[in-house]
Amino acid sequence: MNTRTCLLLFVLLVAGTFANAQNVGYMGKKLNVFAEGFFSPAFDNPSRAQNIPSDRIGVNSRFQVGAEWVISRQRFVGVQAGMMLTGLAGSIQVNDTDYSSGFPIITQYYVTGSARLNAFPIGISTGHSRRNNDYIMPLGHYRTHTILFIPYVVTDSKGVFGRKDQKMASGLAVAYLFGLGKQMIFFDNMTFRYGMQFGLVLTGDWDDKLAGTRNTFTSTAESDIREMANDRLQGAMKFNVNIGVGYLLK
Amino acid sequence: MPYSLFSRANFSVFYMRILCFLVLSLCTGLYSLAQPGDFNNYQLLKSEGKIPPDFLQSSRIKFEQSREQIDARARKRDRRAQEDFLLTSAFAVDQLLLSGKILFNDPVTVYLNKVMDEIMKTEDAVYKDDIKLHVLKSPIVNAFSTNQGYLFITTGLIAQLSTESELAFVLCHEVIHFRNKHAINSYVEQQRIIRGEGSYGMTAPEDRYLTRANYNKDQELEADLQGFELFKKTKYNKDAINNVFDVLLYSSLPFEEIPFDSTFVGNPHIRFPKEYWLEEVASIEVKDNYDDSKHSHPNIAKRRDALAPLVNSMNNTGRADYAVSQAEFELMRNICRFEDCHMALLNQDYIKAYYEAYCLLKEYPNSLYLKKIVLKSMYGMSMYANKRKLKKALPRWEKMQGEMQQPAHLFASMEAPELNVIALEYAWKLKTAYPDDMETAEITNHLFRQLVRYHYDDRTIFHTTPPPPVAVATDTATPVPADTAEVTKPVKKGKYATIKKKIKKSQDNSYILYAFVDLLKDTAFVNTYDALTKEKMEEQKIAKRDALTSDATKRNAARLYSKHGFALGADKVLFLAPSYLKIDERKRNAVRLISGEKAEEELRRRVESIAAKIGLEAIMIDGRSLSEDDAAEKMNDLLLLKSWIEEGMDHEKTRILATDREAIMKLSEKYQTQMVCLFGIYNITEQKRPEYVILATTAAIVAPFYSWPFVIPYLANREEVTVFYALVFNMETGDKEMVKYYDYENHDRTALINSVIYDVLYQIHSKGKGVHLKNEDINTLINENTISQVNEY
Repeated sequence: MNTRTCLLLFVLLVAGTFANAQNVGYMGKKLNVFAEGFFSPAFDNPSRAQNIPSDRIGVNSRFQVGAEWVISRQRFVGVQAGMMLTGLAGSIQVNDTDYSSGFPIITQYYVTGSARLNAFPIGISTGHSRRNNDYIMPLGHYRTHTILFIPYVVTDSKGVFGRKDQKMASGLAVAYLFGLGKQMIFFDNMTFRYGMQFGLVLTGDWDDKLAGTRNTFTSTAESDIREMANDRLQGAMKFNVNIGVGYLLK
Repeated sequence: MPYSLFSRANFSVFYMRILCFLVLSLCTGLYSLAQPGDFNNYQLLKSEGKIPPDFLQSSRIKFEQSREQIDARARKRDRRAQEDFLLTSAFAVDQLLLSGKILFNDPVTVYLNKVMDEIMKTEDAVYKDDIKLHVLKSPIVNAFSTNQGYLFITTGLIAQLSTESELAFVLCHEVIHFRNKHAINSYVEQQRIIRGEGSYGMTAPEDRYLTRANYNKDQELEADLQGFELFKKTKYNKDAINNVFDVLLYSSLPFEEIPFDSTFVGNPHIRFPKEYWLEEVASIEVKDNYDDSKHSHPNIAKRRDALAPLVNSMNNTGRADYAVSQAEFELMRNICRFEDCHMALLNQDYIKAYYEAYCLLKEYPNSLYLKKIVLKSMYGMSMYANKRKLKKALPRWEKMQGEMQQPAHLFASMEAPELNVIALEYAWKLKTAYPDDMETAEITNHLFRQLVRYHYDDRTIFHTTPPPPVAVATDTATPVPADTAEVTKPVKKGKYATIKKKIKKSQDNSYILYAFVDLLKDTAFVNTYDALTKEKMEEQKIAKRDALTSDATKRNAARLYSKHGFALGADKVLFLAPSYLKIDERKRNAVRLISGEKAEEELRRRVESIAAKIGLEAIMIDGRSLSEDDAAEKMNDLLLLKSWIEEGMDHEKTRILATDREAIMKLSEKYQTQMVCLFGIYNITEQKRPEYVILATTAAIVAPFYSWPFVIPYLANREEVTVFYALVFNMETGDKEMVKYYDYENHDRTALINSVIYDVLYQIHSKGKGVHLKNEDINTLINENTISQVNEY
């Protein structure tokens, strides 16, 4: 099952829900635009990877803006876009080849803390109120299911491998996130939400994996970096608490 | 000098005559306006004219004003008890005032005030200006006064009185309760007893209940004795005092004891089996010296004894039973008796309604109102019998006393088909006599359908010729006087005797087949019977055809409901007294009256504004949103709708046309809507369980930091439950069209309330996809528990 199939299934699901539901919303308002932040403790942070003692608790943070549309009494769908800027925790293997002696002499060493991960997730989500509570969306306790498409770029922030900020690798990760939360409404328009989210990054190199072409022998520096980037994203998505504010537009 | 009509002297005479004529006409006109005395076309008692200003004042303002009464020198605990009492009493009295059951400017209240003026003629005390006397629509025989000076006399009590002087003594008794501030003093003293303060500390806790009862009894005796002193100053007859105690003693009986005439039921062709009639009714045995140790009032014997020396020594010369007017008293008493019949019907006390209407028909044989009471009683019993629930609607005749036992026994002896036939026979005759009466026509139609559907779908089973005359020792009770009829005494028998008796009884039912001897000569009756039989056959065919699809239809309805909810398609809805109850179990006074009243006011505003947004017109029928102009009208509408809904809920799954169907239909026309919504909110703050609090605190100490994210929110948050209910009734069909119940473990925040109100109003207004069902279907669609929970609220 590739990305397109996943996307198609999701769209069909949403369209099906649209087709038969009573539109209510909060006092008739169904469109909620919001901004929210996701935070999680960064256990695999760069400082830790480099064994640098630090008193700071590392925090992964991701910021998103989005819009949600209430499609039935207890369901909504949404789109979101955001960004996540962080460092890579693992060490990058560098092969330095010296031709001065006439023979190529390869020296391997590892660099940590240099690579920077810039991810720009965009996603679609669907949510519903918790059945036993019978809240009328967008108010109250809810559950969400989100698919995030995360295009990312890894850059060399310190210029260890050449030019500073040069692109080292890029890729696309897909993540599934399950969220639990509560949304409150103030002054009939302002929304405030908080909750938690559990995520699973499905993979980065879809094509390689599915074709079976990626293994130890085909591994390259770039694929290693992508691997590390996926691990990093997995670490950041595993568990988050989120807090956000929004406005009921219509 | 020629006589001239226009000579100065003659002109004065002529002018005076005209003036006298005009004044007399005006007086007669006023009298007839004030009189609802047309008992043949009796109209129910209603509030009229301008509402008293104190009805419109909010309870919390009344409470604030009444706080001045608190005795500043009293001990702190007593002051607190006084404050608690004043708060509770202000709200409780207002709830009663705004229920619609307290009438103002109606003929009975006007008359009561005349009697009160008569009593107070000789009193020059200040307190008399504070007395506000009203009649309370209730079948219970009672009178009571409140701390604020309200004196309420129930219609049930007035219906039982014989003379105006009896009424005067009751009023004197209640005036003393108010003058001596018995209500508040009793509350404060009872709190002292509960706490065991002072000398009460010596009393064992289990005996304190009795001490409280004794304190109340002392107050009652004080009201009797001082009330007597007040009564003595009036011109009323002293015999009234003993009579009032008789009224209290026999208050459980109907207002008249007239032997029941067996010819009143059915027609001469119907010969009821002799065992349907009692040889003699149970004698009335009421003790006046009963054990009153746990009662709030002393027993009647003690009260009589306490007053006896005073009454005996009182000079009765020059005293009379009436000071205002005998005719007016009797008129008012009869009004209350007519009201009593109606209230008995509303309470499904069909035998009482039937018997009381029977008694009144002796005096007013042409009263359509009374005939309809008789019809509605039989109709109600028949409908319950058809649902095999007659026991719910019929009190046990074995436990009854007096003449009312006879009709109770008669109807209890009948099976469902007999009751249906008897009721239909009466209904048809009434319908023929009053063809324009809508209620009679509808009831007749319903009874007819039920007869054809459940009992006799073939009219040829009924005899068209009268039964053969019985020469001697007839089996019937109707043509034979009760004293000559042989009546079997109830004897305990074995299993087989009971079986035989039942078989015999089923054979005896054949007497009912003579019920329509006369009616079968009526072409309209025969045609209706045949049409309904044909209709039943067709219905059966359709039912067979639809049986296969009914499950699918139910599934489809359930699917529609879960996705779209209801869609009632109304443009206008009557909101009946939206209520908001706030309870905080952590507080000493758990019911938060003041905040509840504020929330209720806000709720009304919210409903109106959200309804306007949706495009639905919400009309408030509520005691709290009255204006001086339409107050009386709204209060009458409120009472009518409330009693209609209560009656419908009491019937549960038994479908019966409402007692006040005609009035409800008129109301529907007046407001141009069929929908009535009952909406309310309960917010309950619960006490946290102590063991959980201890556990959480221990966790916070033992595992700091890690446990705090869980412990702190738990300890900081209140445990609240907010419950919403919404019921929508259709005035035309009497069906419940919407039942919604929302239960949130959350605070009652504005957004939550708005959200639920919007949801309810949207579904009332929605004309799109959604469910629009009737009572029975709603019951199957929605969880039975939800229905019962909502009904409870």
